Amino acid sequence: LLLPRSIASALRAVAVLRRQAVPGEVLVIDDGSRDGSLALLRQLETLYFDAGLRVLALARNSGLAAARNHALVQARYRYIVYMDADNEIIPDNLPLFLQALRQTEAAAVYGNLLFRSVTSRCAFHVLSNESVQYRLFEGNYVDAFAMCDRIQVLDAGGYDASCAAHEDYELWLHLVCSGRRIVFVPLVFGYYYMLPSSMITDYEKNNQVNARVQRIFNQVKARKHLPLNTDRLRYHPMLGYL
Amino acid sequence: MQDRLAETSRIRSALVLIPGMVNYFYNLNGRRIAEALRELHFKVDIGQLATCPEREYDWCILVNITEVLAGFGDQAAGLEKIRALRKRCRAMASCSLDCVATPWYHRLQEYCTQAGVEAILDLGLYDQRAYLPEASRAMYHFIPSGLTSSEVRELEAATGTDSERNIPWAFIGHLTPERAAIVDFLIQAVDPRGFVYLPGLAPYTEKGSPHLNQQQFERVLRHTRYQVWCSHHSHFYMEPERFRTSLLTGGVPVKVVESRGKLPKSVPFSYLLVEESQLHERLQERVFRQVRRRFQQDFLRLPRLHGSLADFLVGTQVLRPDEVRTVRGTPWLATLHQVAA
Repeated sequence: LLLPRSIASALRAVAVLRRQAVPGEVLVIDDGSRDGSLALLRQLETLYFDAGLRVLALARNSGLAAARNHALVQARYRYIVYMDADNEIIPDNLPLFLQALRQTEAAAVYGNLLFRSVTSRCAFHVLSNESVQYRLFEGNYVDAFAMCDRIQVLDAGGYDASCAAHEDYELWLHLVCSGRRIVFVPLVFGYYYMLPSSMITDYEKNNQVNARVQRIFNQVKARKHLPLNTDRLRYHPMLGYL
Repeated sequence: MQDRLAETSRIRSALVLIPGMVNYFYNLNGRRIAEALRELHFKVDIGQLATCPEREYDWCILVNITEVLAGFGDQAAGLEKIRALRKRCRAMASCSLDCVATPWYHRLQEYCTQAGVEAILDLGLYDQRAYLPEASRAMYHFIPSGLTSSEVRELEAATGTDSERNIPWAFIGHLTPERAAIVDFLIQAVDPRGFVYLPGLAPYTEKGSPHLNQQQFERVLRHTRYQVWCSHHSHFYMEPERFRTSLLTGGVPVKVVESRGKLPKSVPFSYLLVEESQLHERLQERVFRQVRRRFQQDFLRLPRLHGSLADFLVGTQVLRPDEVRTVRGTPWLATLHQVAA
């Protein structure tokens, strides 16, 4: 239901970039699926190859972190956007995020994600709506649906496969703690469609994850006394830092 | 005779109390009121409750009492301090920048009663007296929140080209479900490149808040054509800060309302109050300059802030009518009545 919408929006975004003479591609990672997805994806790849669609199939299911790290290695270009099946990107804003990432030389930029239920026609909430502040150490509010500098993320070691279900959060904190910058861009980056089984709705698990990540990154609550290169960084390509 | 001369030439004193460390737009309005009072030849002290001078004043205004108490910290001790201050002032008022139907206006009213503050000045664009119960009306005074002299100069200086006004619209405020829905509509139906900043609810401090401060807010609006917002409550209100900030940054404010049919007939700037479904027609680039010219002309017809304050201060006998008429030779009462007519 959602994957075609996600891929279609990504292909439109690549088309917008290409019109501005910026090359791009859409990489779909099939993580050892056993439900017939790969056959469907291969058909799509044939149809949309010229539009930039490439499908990479993993021989066996390796998990989210491994799939994303695979994309990091296989991607043809320096800047990448991670999208899940329940995401939809806003094509016209992609060049502005790219501009922001290039201008700030950050490890990642992200923007507002309008939160919709699958059946609703308008958003009722906004995710990833604030800059990275100290309170990121108390709980994650920045989704993985963001644009990254592949080189910097690779240099930082990519996603940690041992942190199942909170790879995104772990990576943000790892980047922040290793002196990288993560910048909020006050534009709408895309949509997040909430499914009843979305990971975001598993509150009990999220609480466990937060507790574990806090033990790793902020056990003695000293972070707020340490300087961070990422603290309240907001950047708009037409305005600079705010 | 000498006493009369002395009275004529006596300089009035005023104290403007601001909260300091909480929501910055109260500090900003404190500074605006102080400027307006200086234009009325008051000697003005501006400060916070904890450190205000131990002297007597002709008039004291709290901007506003709830925020001043929040800035002070200890509510009971703060109220006691305001009561003591009241004894050293001939008259005292609290400003309000709120819709009178909200719980926070009622709280403000209660604090005023407890502290012996006799007047609430609604610095706004629309008289809300009719929305108040009869018993609350005596305390309420509508003060049209026109520009100060420095704002008029700022507006004159701001009229330039729009070559850097490339952001089609901006939606800034704390996050609510209604605001998320309107942003979704703007993205789909108007232009996806709008500036969107909707952090969670937190105090609007000048530093250290997730919200934009006044300088950052103005910087965004100087590059934006339309500032769009909706109230975070269900009652009708004309947010004066939104309108004035758009004016001074050369943009157009557009407030999204649930139904234009429910608007009061005499509401000003009604052409800037728009239902969500009309946004794509109203926010077009080609009509921007035309709408902005109309908005600027209409706003400049409002009485200037010191004129509105003068009218109130004469009514409460802090100033005499003849003193007001001598302020830069402008008969403010007459101007006010002309505008009202």
